[in-house]
Amino acid sequence: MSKLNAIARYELLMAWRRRSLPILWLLLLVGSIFFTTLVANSSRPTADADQADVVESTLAAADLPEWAQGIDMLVVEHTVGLFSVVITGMVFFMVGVTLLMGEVIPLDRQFKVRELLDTLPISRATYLVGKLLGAWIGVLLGILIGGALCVVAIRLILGIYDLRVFAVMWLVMLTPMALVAAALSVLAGSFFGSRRTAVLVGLLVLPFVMTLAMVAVPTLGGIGALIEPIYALVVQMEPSAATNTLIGQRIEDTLLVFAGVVLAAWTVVWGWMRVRSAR
Amino acid sequence: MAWRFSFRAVGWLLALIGGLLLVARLAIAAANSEFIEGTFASFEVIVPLMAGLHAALLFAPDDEPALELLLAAPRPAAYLIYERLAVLIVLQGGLALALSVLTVVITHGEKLITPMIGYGENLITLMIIWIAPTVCIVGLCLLATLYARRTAFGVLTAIMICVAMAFGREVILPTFPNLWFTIFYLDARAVTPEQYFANRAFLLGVGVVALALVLRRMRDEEALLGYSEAKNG
Repeated sequence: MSKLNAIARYELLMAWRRRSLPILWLLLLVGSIFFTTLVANSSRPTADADQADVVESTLAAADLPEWAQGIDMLVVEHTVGLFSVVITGMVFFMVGVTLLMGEVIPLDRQFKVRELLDTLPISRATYLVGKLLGAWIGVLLGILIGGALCVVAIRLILGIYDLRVFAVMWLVMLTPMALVAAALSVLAGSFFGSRRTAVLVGLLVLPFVMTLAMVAVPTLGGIGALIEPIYALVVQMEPSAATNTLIGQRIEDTLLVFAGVVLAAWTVVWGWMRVRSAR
Repeated sequence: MAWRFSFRAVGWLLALIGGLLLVARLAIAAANSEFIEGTFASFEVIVPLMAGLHAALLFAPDDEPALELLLAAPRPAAYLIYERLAVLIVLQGGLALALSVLTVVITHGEKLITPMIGYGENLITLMIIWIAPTVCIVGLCLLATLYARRTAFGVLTAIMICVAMAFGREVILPTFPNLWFTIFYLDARAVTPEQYFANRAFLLGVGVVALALVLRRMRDEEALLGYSEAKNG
């Protein structure tokens, strides 16, 4: 266990010193904040429109369905806008993660320390898991730090919004996808021995990772509905208890698929490393 | 010898991928004339992206084998950039030019909309669409790779610029219309001819300035070796 900790810890430190982590975190932050500015500018209503909205909402309040009763529509509007902010942050972050994390294992060969590592009593599995953990911790730290800064920035730029919904959207949409992107990038890069090739492999992995993300967005984006049913509208579903059950089920299935993809990739790379060392 | 090494260092894979994508798009347009306009737009997207990615791979000090040896040689270090850039221009530019000629011949440029000659068609118009963004992105990606010392940052720059520009046209421009001069994929119909040319001139200018900064950096051999970084731990 201490070996695993040491590999993960030093991987994290090296990623920080190589400036990969600060760049990744910055990408997430800049992408999210810039898009929030766009959302704020595009959704800023005029004074007349404001008045019309008040009249309209007063008239229609009685006819609203149960899930819409007593809800501050301004908060809902801002929070729904944050859905696209999270997607933008996710796209920026995942591109960065896929391209920058691929070099983790090839660098050991490029710096000629691979042979030295092979002489140590570390199993292939420990080595691979340690490298993955190091990359994952860096990504998770970025999500947490970026999220904390975004919470403040969005409040300043956009105004009031539902913090609970934003927090779960941020965590549930970003975390699994970023972890999958990091894992696939690290594992795919392990077949090669130079940083340059690893970047090219990252370019090949990128379309696959982005496709996974785009397929998962409509599912994971519905997480807000589990807090307030009205946010089922974000993923174009009708708010209801049945919808919430469906959303929960879909999220579970998606996470299982992600775990399966990572596990399959890890097994292939681990098997390949064992075969290679046995030759 | 140096040229052969430069050709090997630059590689041809990205030019091939870009060429294949453009040929595929051209084949679609040849089969169905409704897609002709999209073919011209694909030059605007594919050529800069591929050239930017290619430029990012040209010279990264940390990934360059035998960098100390290259810098110790009597020939100036800037020659590395001149040679590799020339190979890049021949590969990417030559391919894009050849395919532009082919596109104009096959499609007769009937739906090519240009700011200067209206619904005319010619090779120069198609080239104006892709040359300025290509020069800009090549300069910026070379600069990013050189200053960050790693290929990955240059590649990241290329992709981020293209993503931002795609967003730029559809999302940023409607909100901040004054940013028209920075957008790669500017719709010639959405601005005046003067604005369109100003946009192309601005992009060319950015690319040229970035290339000048690259060549300036290549004169500083200690910086290329990463001396200051090593000194700071």
